[in-house]
Amino acid sequence: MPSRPLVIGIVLAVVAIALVRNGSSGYALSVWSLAMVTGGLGMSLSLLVTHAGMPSLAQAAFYGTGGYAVGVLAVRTSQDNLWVGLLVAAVVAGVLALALGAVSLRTRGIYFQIITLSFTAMIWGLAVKWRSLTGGDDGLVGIYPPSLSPLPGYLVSPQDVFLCSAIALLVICLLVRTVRHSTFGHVLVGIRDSESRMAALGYRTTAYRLGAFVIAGVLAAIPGALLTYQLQFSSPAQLNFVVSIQALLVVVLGAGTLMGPALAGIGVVWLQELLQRHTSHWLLVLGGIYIAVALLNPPVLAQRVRRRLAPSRGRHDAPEGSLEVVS
Amino acid sequence: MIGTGQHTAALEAHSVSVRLGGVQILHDLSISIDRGERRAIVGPNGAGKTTMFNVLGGGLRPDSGRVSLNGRDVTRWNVSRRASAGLARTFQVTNLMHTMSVVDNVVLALAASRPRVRRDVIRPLRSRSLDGSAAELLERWGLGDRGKAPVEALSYGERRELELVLAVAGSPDVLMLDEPAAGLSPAETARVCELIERLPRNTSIVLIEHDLDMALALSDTVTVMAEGTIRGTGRADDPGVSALVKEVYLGTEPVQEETHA
Repeated sequence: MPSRPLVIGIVLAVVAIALVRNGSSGYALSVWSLAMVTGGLGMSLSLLVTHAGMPSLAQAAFYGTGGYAVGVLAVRTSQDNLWVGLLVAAVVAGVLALALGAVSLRTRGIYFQIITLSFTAMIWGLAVKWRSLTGGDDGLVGIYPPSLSPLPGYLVSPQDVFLCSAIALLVICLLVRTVRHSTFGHVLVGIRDSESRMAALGYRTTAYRLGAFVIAGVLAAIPGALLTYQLQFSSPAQLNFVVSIQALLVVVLGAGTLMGPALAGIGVVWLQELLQRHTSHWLLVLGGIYIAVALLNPPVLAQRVRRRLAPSRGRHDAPEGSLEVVS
Repeated sequence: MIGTGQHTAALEAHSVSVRLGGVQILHDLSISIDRGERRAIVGPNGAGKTTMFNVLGGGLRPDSGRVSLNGRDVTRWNVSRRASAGLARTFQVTNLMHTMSVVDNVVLALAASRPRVRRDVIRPLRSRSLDGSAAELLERWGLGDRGKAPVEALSYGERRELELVLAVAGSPDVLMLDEPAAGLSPAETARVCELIERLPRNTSIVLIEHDLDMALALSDTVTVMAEGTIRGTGRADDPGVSALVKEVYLGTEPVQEETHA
């Protein structure tokens, strides 16, 4: 039995998707599509940062790997089916996450951040140097709209591209929610709260952290692949460590709430778009806004708002996540 | 008599030595806890009591020596593997899943021993069977009305009680309690003592405690530690034990060796 907030949330999301799809210009739809993808990237990382307390900087590696997986598939093998592409992207990113996670999860805190950042830089370097596979700095061009078979047609119109990205974001949100509420998700939160206690209860904490790392990697590969289909282009920029930092920022803006990162991802893309339209100093303004947000400490702010809204209900409303680990 | 009996001990350390940062913390230490035995470990700060706990629990690998649990060599096992094999512990500093509710803490403790539940990525944590057991456990331990409260809303005494509940949730063979009454008021201490006394008799208990009266009241045997070694082990009512305790705490002259017997 789905709970009422869940049903309301899905209904609202479907209405929003329908409104945007039918009421936006082609250009606006391309921005919306990027917003969906960024939301998905943020949601994937939130599983690690917010719920498992692992401030990974490797998320761009999985996002970009998903993008290159479908790019290589389309250009080098002429495989143009969307579903095959998404599946391959997920599997390749999952295997990569297993390998990188097995090494990086030996570390904690700032060392974990350094090692995940280094891995991202290595994967980026590999993409730049391995020209025969990735096209190097030039990226992969000539990625045609994928076929939707067994559904009819191709993923080509801005409306369809947006719809597909929006559905992907919705599915990622539902998956993250399911995992968070599952026993596995609670074990992750338990490890975030007290790894020594969870180990003393008999939980193999490293295995759980690795599991979370792989799930997050797989979930990042889907928006990554969709970005490649949107742009019809794969480039090393998608693997850049700056993407990892942007993903972390989206999670922080998500204020430690379950669905916050999805909304924050959408907000960040649109904020950037609007600033770019109005000023050539948009990076300066954006940076200022981010600093202001960081000073406001979104998780604490969200908790205060929540308490203000429901002071007397006395339900147990522990914050979904505390983000001190990020700092 | 330490560790030389024909029967297998529940928990045993044999000639364990630990050096940390160039300092000898434990020196050729051997200890053996029988099945169902209740053993108190007393000794001044810096005696190595908590270090010994970490070696027994698997958090610290000794430089030399062996640890066995129910007759199996577990020296190379990590904390979670030893826990799964029946060794539970509480911590000197309260150590709970502090952002969760009381009942979620207990359900996680129960799920740990259920392989199918603990790895479930799909179904919600709270299921009917575990919820029932958790409620029953909390009821039995006097926290029945606190289940829905967040851990952060518990009093310090209640948190120490919840620590005990989590440790016993998996019905361990051996329970290690590191100063369960640290920082508690006399009334709360009495309550924790009562809870420990009510634990099943077939559970072995190893208890670190500074309060000698409490240690003697809760245990059958007392081990006195100082400077990384065991100075003696005797029955709780043995007058030699009190003399030895006085010696290690106050530094008076050595007492007779018969407390070793």
